[in-house]
Amino acid sequence: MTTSTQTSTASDHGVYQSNVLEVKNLRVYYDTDAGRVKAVDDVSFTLRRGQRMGLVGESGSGKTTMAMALMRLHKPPAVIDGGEVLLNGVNLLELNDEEMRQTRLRDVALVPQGAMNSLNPVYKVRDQIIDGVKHHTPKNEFPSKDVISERVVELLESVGLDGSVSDMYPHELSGGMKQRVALAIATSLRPKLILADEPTSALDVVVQRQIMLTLEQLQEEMNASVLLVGHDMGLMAQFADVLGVMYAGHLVEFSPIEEVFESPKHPYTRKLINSLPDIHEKGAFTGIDGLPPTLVVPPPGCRFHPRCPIYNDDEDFMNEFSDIRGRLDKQLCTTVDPALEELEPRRWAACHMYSGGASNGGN
Amino acid sequence: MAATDVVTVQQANDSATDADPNSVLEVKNATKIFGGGLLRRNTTIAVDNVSLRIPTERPGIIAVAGESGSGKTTLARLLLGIIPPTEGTIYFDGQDIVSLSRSERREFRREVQPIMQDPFEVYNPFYKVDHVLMAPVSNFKLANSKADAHDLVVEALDTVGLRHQETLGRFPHQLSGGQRQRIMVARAILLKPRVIVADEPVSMVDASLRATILGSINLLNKDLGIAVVYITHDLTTAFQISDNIVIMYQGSVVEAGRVEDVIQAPKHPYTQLLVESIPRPDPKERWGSEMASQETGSDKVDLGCRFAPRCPYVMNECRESMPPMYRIGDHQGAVCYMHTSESMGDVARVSDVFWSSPSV
Repeated sequence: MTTSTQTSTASDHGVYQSNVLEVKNLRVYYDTDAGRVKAVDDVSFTLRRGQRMGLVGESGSGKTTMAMALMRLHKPPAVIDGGEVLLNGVNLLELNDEEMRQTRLRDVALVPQGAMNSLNPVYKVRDQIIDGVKHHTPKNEFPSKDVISERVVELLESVGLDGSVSDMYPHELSGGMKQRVALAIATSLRPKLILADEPTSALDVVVQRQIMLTLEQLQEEMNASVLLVGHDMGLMAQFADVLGVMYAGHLVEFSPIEEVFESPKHPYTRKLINSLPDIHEKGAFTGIDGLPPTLVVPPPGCRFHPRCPIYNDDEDFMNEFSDIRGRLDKQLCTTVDPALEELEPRRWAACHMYSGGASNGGN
Repeated sequence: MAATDVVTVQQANDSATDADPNSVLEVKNATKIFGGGLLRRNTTIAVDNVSLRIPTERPGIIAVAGESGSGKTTLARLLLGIIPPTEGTIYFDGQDIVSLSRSERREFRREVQPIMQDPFEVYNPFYKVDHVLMAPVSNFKLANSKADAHDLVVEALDTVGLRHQETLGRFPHQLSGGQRQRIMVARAILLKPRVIVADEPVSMVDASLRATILGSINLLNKDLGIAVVYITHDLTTAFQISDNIVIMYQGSVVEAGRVEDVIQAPKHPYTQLLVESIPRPDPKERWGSEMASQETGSDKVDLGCRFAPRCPYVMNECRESMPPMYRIGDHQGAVCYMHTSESMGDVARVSDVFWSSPSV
């Protein structure tokens, strides 16, 4: 099993081959006393082999709910209401619990949010790594003690830790070291897809950079795909190849990272980029007025329209979008929920600004 | 241990009884040591011999930046008078805050206001938000009548961009994190303090709101002339709103000066590492792939420069004694032996290298 994965990894290193992950019309709901919260509402995207995808959104946009649902690790009252999650063509939503357990860690692994607290304080690092391997490998494939001890040291070294860390307890490690152990566990069975949910949110910038570079190294070496969930656009710019932007349960933009920053298609993405402070120019960042909507009763039509600078005739902003200015039929904004459409090759956005043939522009 | 440092601090104190007359707040050779007790083991020097003044005239915004464990929050708490320094003195209007009378202490509490990191913790969930705003008005007798009090509150909310109709009469859980944080700013404004110490005021809010909150803090300084000490781990927001910056590492100041100079041309190897590690929001400016020196967990040192164990340019003298702060430009100073030759002299107080905006 493991060896076959390794050979195929080596042969197509760096080449985007097939789709590893296809998410189709995924819906995840929470039933609460206040009503049904549509946390993830009809989200579709594909992730190719070896690709690093970032997924950003404000708190409450549904990004974490979606990441958890992909591994079926969502917690009640969250319910997957429909859609497909195809990992190498296998719909994870149709697997039984035992099959799903075998899939986790071997095919898709999670680096959790606040991973530093995900380690069990009473077990040594070695035992926690072995525990993961044991739990997600069929009994007859489980390696011998010597082999696995060697593997533990290898794994720790692959994340930049000394082999001696295997005999330490979590409290003896710094935050950054714990996060490295979490990376070692996540990559122990060489998964095809790694989900990382704000893996560095509690770490200092210097450590954050080291962890992200380590993740990048592991990912390249295994030719795995990564889905990085977070709210830090800076981190996304540093790490991701493609970026998905979520707003109020919808995926509103999905494009290669350079192009998102160069010419964002969705007004929300543009506002998000404008809200980022940098160290080149002072005063060059602005907030987004208004608040994200409640997902129990989302605004009719486009969920962003109450905050949308174009819908609300923000002159300065409209000048930036001068090429499509005037094409917006505001009535659509308040009545029809725009679908995510491919406007140019590999550039997807959900905005009425582009309906009516705008996608034919460009080339 | 740090015994040598402590002795020098005491000597400095004996000769320096006079505070700077033109400062609202002044920190003089302040050291804060946690733990220890009788056995003097496992002590942590959270703040090590820091001197800094906040001028009365055109105070500006001072950022204090560093990673966790750098001592920035301890410095904030010293400034607020929440904890006393182990060595050294904090002066408020030229008076040691330890020896303030009851009424002077009350004045100090009003004039030096905190804005805390987590606005959730400040609120009692059973009180409407009005309570947080009205309590200081009545405590400090800021208004003569209920109507006056209401007007004051409305005005303060207006300053931070909140509509009172949508804010007053509500419970904390009915407001977003960003709104709650802005109410804390409004509360600080109500008291018309001379100094605000804001400890990571935007670390818990989304990027889209960060700009708005930082905007209102900036306004407190630029329009109302309130001195702001902005404590943060985020160099980009520090660059955006502050005039001067102090970089701390394990309790010591390593670099200070005008924010443009320090961030765009950092002189201390640690500041350089920090700036390099900022995740720039631009895919064309990706991180170099070379690994920065790792923290090992055991790199606490008692003697010399705290950064020496991780420093790529470490020299013998770095491990023997702590360098002074060298003045490198008009508005920049670095605590690093690498800059001995280009030094324009030693800097006594980190604020001596600060840049001050020309008077209007």
